Amino acid sequence: MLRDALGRMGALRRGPVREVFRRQVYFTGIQAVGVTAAVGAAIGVVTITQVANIVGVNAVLTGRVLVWIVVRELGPLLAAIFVVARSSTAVAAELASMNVGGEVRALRAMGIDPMSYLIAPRIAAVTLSVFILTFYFQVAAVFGGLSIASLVLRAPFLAQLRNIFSALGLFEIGVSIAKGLVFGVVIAASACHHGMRVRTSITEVPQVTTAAVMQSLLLIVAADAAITLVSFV
Amino acid sequence: MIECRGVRTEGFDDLTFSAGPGEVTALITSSDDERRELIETLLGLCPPRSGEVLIMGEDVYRGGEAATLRLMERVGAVWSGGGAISNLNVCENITLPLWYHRGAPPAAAEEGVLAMLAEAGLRDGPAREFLLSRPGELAEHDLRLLSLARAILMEPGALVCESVFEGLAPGPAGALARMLDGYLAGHAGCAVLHISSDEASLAFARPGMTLRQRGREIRP
Repeated sequence: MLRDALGRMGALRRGPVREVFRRQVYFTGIQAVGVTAAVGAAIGVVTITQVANIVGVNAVLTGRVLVWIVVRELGPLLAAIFVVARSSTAVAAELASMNVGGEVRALRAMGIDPMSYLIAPRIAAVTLSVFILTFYFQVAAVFGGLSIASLVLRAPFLAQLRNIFSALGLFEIGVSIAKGLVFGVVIAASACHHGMRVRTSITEVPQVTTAAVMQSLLLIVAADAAITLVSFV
Repeated sequence: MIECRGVRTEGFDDLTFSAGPGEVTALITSSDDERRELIETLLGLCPPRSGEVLIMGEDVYRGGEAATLRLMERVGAVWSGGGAISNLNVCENITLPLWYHRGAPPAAAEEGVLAMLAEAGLRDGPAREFLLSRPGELAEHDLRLLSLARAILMEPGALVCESVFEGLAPGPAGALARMLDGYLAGHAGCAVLHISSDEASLAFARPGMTLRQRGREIRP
């Protein structure tokens, strides 16, 4: 299904497909910005507090730890987990209901390819949303952590910010982008696959949403481990 | 023309009939399951075990899925349940195939849609309210009105109608019949096939020919 959907990304030039894409970006990405930023800031606070508790106030180490933990690992992973919780279930349930309700059949009878109209824009939208939410999470975590460090732990804010930028190389940014994109594709493909395999029974809908969530989580963690192993060993 | 030649499916041993250009043909099936299977076979959704399904001279299944989808652009399907996309409003549903295949956005097609709805007796405020409502809020008659409007907006050369008038009061059924008649008056070459398991409701279709299922066959 993923290969078929990726081959149909050209369908995004059609107006209705772009509309599906736009609505999915709004639901998956834009509506989640607030909570993602809030959790990111909280994770930044927790991370810096624990680091300071272990090694004391250290501007150099603070920046590096934020980059190692948040940018390399927690940012992409937690942003993806939020999207799984909010959107994976919704996408799988929506597609499953459309199958059971005869809507996918009706699309085919109109000459509209369900892969082009339903699946391709959702995969593109969720992938883009995870990528953007990852960025938001990391920015919120960095500024949340630095704010606590400067307000509570009396570490100089600008010095820490300089240390973060010095620890943040293109490699870290590249790995973070790669993780965000891979996680987005995995989440979307899993949700769409499980949603589309429901045929006639409404009782299958909750089953496939659960399956979509579990598969997404497993694949995200596995992909995270694989990318980390390849990148940093 | 809509034609079946010796088609064998799970529920039928022999489907052999045709609805020619400008003709209105009624097929009466023994059950709803067989009606559904017949419609899905005609609309490229369920390949037969043998035989040919031809619409406007083209074999529905010969060219593969992409060719089938291209053919279905020129075929109108009217579903008894509406076949509406649940996350779109009525106007978006009606104009979806036009927007997808010909690039005409819903706003550009709205006047044409309102003119069609006027043929069914829906005008002004109630018509605009109807266009803004969601399929989940609609009664059975309104869902069929949506399905019929969507089908004829594409100006198809063939129409396959599933139990369009079944279970409706004379008023709403007559409104759908007027809308269909209005389209056929301007498109004399369109072949229309009504499929239902309720023979009485097909009176609104005024078919030129009626075929009844006998056993596992439908033939003249």
